[in-house]
Amino acid sequence: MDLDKVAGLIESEHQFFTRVRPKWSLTQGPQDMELVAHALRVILHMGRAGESLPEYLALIQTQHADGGWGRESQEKESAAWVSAFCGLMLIRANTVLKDAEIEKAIWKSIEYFLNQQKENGRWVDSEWGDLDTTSHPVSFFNVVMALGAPKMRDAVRPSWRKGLRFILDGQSPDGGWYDPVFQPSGVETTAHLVQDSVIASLSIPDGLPVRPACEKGLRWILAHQDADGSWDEKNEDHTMDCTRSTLLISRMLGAEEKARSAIEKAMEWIVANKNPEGWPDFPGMETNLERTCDGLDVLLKYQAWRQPDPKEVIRRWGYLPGEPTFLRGMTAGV
Amino acid sequence: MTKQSRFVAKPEDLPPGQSLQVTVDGKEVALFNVDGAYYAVGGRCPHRSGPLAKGRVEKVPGTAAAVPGTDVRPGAEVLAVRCPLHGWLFELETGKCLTRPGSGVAVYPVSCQGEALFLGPPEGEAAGPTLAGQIQ
Repeated sequence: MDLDKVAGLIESEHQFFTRVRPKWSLTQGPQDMELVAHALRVILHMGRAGESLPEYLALIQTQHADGGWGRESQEKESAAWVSAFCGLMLIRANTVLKDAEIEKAIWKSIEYFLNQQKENGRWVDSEWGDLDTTSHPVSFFNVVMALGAPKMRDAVRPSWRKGLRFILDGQSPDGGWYDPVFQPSGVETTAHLVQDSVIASLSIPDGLPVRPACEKGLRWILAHQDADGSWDEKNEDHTMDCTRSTLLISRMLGAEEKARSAIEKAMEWIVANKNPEGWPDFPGMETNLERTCDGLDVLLKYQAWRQPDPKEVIRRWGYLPGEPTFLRGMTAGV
Repeated sequence: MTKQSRFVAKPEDLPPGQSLQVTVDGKEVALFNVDGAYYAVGGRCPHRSGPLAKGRVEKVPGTAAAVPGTDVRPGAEVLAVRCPLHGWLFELETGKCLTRPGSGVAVYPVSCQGEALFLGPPEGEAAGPTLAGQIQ
């Protein structure tokens, strides 16, 4: 896909995203926290975290005493899935912001997950399957292990490895991850797990041996792509998840030539099936803001994947120790 | 058909094995034709507002309690639609969520009168989703 076209789309979609800020910003009132986390990821990957301190301070204002977050900002009960997403956004943004209050909130979030982990390494959330739920705190801990201070890494290391073990043990012989209750088809679960949890071990010290699991996972994802380039019968959300997964895993495994045509086909489909502003859940439907954030994220990660530096896309997940280049020059106050 | 029934589609718009999303009185409704029988439930999953009309209909163990005087056994197979986003299952007859007990969607009576399908008012409407992130 032409990179000028990608850049143009990013620009126009980001303008739309900015225009609808009252619908996702905690500084504007109560919000759906899953949507907030999606929006903060857009801000991060656009390199705008440095100028968005109020958004992150608003996020820590909604953190509960136990260190978690509710599904809605005013909800009192913490939920694991969304809490992990919020913790992940804080630790990544704080590599730029370097704010002491945010640092405290990150520690609180770590404590929440250390307290909530079950004996067999999983985390639970009543609205998500166990594998999917576990992938999120593991993803958060991946970034702690990659970017956190030594004390933070020491705090999460045993829990992180235990969660990873639960995920690796849940992979089916055919390479996919399935949840019989929530996701029997396995598409979204597999896409989530391999990019959120497993692949990071290839770049993080102390990771578990994951190469065979990732190779099988990548083959599974590629084998399940539909002829038109989408996944799960034109499901925009699952197509975006599988595309992002494939970008990352193929680069980290050195298997891009196997995945390149699938990636380009997926990107063509994603761009062809967007609305004039934003993306829908399925082609022809109304724009969904969460999906729009996912669409922007796919474009930004594809753009990173196409950069001359092969590690740029890995930085975009926060899995590579060292300063993320796309955040350079965007430190607080600049 | 009652006075409050609304025309929603023609039978030819909803052949067997197909589904359709309609909007009635400002609410989205997912219509299904399963082997000639029509079903209608609230159109959005209460989890993350997934469009149920895009979901697959499956036969799954249900929540039905034993019904005295019938052959219906607890857990007898029922027809359910699976949300295409994150897989939550909803019984088509009752709207009950099989994935997260206590949750559910509204159920609407559907009647076919000649060349028209009519939808009645919702029965025992469950709490609706927050339609997070939807932009019209």
